[in-house]
Amino acid sequence: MRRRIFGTECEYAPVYLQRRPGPEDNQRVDDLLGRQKQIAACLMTGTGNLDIPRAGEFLGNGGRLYVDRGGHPEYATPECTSIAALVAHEIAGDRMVRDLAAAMNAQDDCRDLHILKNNVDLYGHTYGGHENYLITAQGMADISRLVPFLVTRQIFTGAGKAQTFELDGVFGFQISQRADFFDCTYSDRTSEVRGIINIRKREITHLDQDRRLHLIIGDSNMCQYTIGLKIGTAILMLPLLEAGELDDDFELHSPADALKAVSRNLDAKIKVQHRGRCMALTALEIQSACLEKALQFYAVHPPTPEEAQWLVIWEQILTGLGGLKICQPEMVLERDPFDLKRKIDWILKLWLLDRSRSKGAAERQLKRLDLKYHDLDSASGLYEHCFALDLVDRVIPDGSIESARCDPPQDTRAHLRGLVVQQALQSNLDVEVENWERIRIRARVSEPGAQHSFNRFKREVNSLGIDLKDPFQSEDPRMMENLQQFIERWGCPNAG
Amino acid sequence: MPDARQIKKPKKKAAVKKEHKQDQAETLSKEKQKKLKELDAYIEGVLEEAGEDFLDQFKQIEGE
Repeated sequence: MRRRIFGTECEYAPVYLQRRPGPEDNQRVDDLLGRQKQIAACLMTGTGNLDIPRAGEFLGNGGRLYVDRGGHPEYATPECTSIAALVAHEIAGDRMVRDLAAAMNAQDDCRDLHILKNNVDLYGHTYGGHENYLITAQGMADISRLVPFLVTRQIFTGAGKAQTFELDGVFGFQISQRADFFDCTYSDRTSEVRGIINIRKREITHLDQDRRLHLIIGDSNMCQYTIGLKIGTAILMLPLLEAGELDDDFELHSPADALKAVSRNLDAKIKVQHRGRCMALTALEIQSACLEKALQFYAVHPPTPEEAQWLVIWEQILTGLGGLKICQPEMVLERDPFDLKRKIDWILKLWLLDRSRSKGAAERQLKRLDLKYHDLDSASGLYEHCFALDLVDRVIPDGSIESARCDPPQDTRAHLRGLVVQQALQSNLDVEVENWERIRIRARVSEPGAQHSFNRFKREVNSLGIDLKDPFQSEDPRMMENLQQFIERWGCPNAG
Repeated sequence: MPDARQIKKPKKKAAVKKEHKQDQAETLSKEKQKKLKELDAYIEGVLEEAGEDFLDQFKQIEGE
């Protein structure tokens, strides 16, 4: 499969910081879950005031905004087919959530709500940044062959973490936020026992032929390049997997342990079985082998311009990582000759922490700095500050991010979903998005008893079901005609 | 003579170009220093906010 849909999901962490003395001062929050759910619900209701088209949980850009487990506001991008579109839509989601928080803050004299895009608090509670890829059934059957790539990609996808390690109580820095929370290679669960490959069956398939690869192993990223690399390298590797070009060359002895070891030490040696022999390789060596295979594959199967672009970037990043020098065990960045801190989250964060350490910052201050790195607020977030000062590189222009707030990708079913959501809302119709594959629009009930949706004689008249079974179908003239007829019959212009 | 003038001219241009490049590099370096100073000032502010009890403010519930 060379044409593919993919998307990301991000669980955000809402945090209240006191601006001035108020009712919650010096009080412990006893019902944290209740409070988080309340904050997330308030955020969702603000979409109307910010002109963000939203129906039920779905948005006019084809994405989804909702409250997830643990009271985390979650944004899922629409289905994308290009890496650039995915980066734009993920960051558009970040900015929407940030603006919703700012709108809430305008109503509150005492507190400021901050939204963090990270994966762990300082008590060891984790929350996810998930990825979804459409892959062939054959690719899914051979998915174990992707494990070495997934375990070692953290060297360029990690978001970095400054924390006290649970085992020895020692403060230190890790490459990945999520590595410590994975116990096995396969699991159908997304909490408690997490697997590098999530094997829960999902409904998003291409006419029942293909499968949804759901990865929960990745970190949520701030740097545009890191987001692009996380998705881009996976997009480059999946065709190899599906074509049977990934063999069992590198079989990791213990993938979950390797994940944790690499996260603590860039140069950690991982035990692998290589063609019947036991070897110890670094994450960079395994990534270089993956890149080599990809280069061989794309020499025979010409890449798209975007694939070619990310192949070059992948190669440049691995070269840069080869020149990186980190002093162990303190994890101090000694040399970064290719200036990877402009592109990779964990390297930028480590550089910022080093700068603070050299000025005598204490452990607790470094922990706070870590959290502030992920604050989406443009005035108070540390990454956002680096972005504004042009200390990080960009993959896409700001205009694409702004467009992605409202415009769905034009080449997937997200386009149809977005159109239905936007047109129905403009016509004062209710929209129920049952799942990623089905939408129902319904006329609003103006008088009690009239045109009631549960009236068995009229419910088929005043509601319209729309199926979006094919993820690649972005146009459907017949469906649009039905929609227009329904709007003419039941809709009325939105008074605003 | 015309030949000599022709030879001299590019030399002058090259010198001007080199000076211009140096100026640009100095401006860039100054600009970078300014940015880093601004960044450090911001970081200092964040560090000052890190009181003894800030951990609770960032506490979350386990997600997926």
